[in-house]
Amino acid sequence: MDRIARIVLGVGSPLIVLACFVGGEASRLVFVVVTPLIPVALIALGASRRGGSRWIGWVLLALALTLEAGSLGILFLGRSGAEALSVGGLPASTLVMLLVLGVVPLLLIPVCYAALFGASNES
Amino acid sequence: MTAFDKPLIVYGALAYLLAMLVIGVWSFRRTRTDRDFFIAGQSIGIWVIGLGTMSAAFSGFVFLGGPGLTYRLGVASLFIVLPLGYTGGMLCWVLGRRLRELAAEREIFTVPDAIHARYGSRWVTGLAALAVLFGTTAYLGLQVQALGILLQAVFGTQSLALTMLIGLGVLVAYSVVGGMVAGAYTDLLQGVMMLVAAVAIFVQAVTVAGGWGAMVGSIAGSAEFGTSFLEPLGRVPVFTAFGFFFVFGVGVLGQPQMLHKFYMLDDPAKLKWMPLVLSASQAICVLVWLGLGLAVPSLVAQGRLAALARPDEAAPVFLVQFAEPALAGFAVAAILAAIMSTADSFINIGSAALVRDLPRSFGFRVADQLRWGRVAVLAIAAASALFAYYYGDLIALLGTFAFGTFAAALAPALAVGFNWTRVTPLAAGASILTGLVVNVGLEIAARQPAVGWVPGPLLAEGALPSAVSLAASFSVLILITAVSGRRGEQAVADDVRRLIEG
Repeated sequence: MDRIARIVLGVGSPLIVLACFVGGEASRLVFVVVTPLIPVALIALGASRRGGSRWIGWVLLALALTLEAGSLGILFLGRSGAEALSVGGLPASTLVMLLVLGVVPLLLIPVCYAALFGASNES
Repeated sequence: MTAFDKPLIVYGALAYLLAMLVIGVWSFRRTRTDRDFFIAGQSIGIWVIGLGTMSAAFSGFVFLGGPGLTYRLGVASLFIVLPLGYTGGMLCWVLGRRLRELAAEREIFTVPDAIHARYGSRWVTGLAALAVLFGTTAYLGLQVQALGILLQAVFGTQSLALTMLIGLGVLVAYSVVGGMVAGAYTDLLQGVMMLVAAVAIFVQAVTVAGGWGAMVGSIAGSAEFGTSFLEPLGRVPVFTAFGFFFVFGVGVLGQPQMLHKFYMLDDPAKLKWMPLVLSASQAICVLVWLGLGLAVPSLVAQGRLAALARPDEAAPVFLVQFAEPALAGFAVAAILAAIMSTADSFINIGSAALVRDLPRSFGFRVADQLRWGRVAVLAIAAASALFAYYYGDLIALLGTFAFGTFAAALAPALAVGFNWTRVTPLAAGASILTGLVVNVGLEIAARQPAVGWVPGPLLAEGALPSAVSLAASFSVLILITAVSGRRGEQAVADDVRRLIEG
């Protein structure tokens, strides 16, 4: 897991720099896809230990998928022009932003950290 | 209307400042060694550490800068705080346990101390200390600016310089006498105040604006704000929105005011609950950002408040003009708490960089660090106030620059370095230098496109200098490490290697 994390960091970071200098539609997509992977890779680097729990891999996969789904959801919903206001008077893309990027990781990560604390050699 | 029309605001602020000074004097009597001054004798429990980390991280940036930035950018500003769902866990997984155990085995008081232990290089430590000093000046400047704007709005004075000076005086007074023992305990009190105030302000803001539906409805229906205000990408380019998410989602790994707290924890097993305490308390505090960020534009849209000349006035104007007097008094005290809890952390971190880390990189040791640390506080505070005064932009934008400076310079060398033995001192030093130079260089280029030799903006529309410098710093670290093979492993001390390998 730590090797994959280093590859993501090694490939993803220069891509982010490049996207910010080049600009354009493709660069924006690269930026939105790659940036959420960097924190997940860093957690993987810190959490992968010999004898550690395999559950951590599933937790990080769930986090990566959540962040990617939220980021791409905002990007594509935001492109639909003036959005219809939905639940609570907020646009759908705003609800995705608040719930998928904000609330879901908030419910997932602190609880998983506590649950895996002993198993991932953190004690 | 000023605070003098609502005396409870003045009483609340004065009561808070008096309480802080009392704690400072009490702590002064308990501060006997440099270990007490810098890391509170490594005797602090999880609630104090968790809430202290929250209050050190959340400052005038969140309580004043957040609503101000939302007033200008709409809900896109929330990309800055969205990552807090995972940043608490990330901090603990990546650095928390390692830093705490390192502090138990060695004399580790500061982030540059940890860099020195990891890389064993004086020049890398010196670069880290420079980065800390630079970021501290900007971050402390943010707090002084926020303090000045708050006091200016509350007391209705015209001179920002005067109110910044008054706030700075109180801040320096209790930081000088108390050091980190004061910091740790005042952080707890301040953290609790911030939580209570955040919930109360949110409820009051939504109520005053006519309820949630009326609040967002009036914003969406107004010509000045419109639906785009409520959309994540309605008012900012993609690079800005996701740049915030990236910088604030990764950059916490380079923030000394947060990392420093891990050194103080009395028992590493208590880290188990740290992400829960930290993330939950941060999430509650963000209610202020959301509540005031939507309520103030809504009041403007409803014609009950004139459009703000300065967006950073959103929070104080609401409190003085619309909040119940008792709540306003408590809220002003809580905002003071938010500002000062961060500021006093930075004052101590900056003074440690000046009297411990920089001298060591030149090969000598200051004899009486406790005494000189207190002297250094004055110099750092004065430099910060000047920096903030002449920066002259939104609190949140100064905060993004300050946060980004720490992030770009320190996060890669710490986060990757403490989890991969192959990272060499050369890679770490080059990464710190890249982060510092690229961040400052791009910031200057973005702000002064018309000044002679300074080139204009180099980046795509909306791209943040701090996002580019953070990614560049990671790139340099990984690249140099990759081409260095296994050379880096030989330079790692045995105790540090055990920490890295778990």
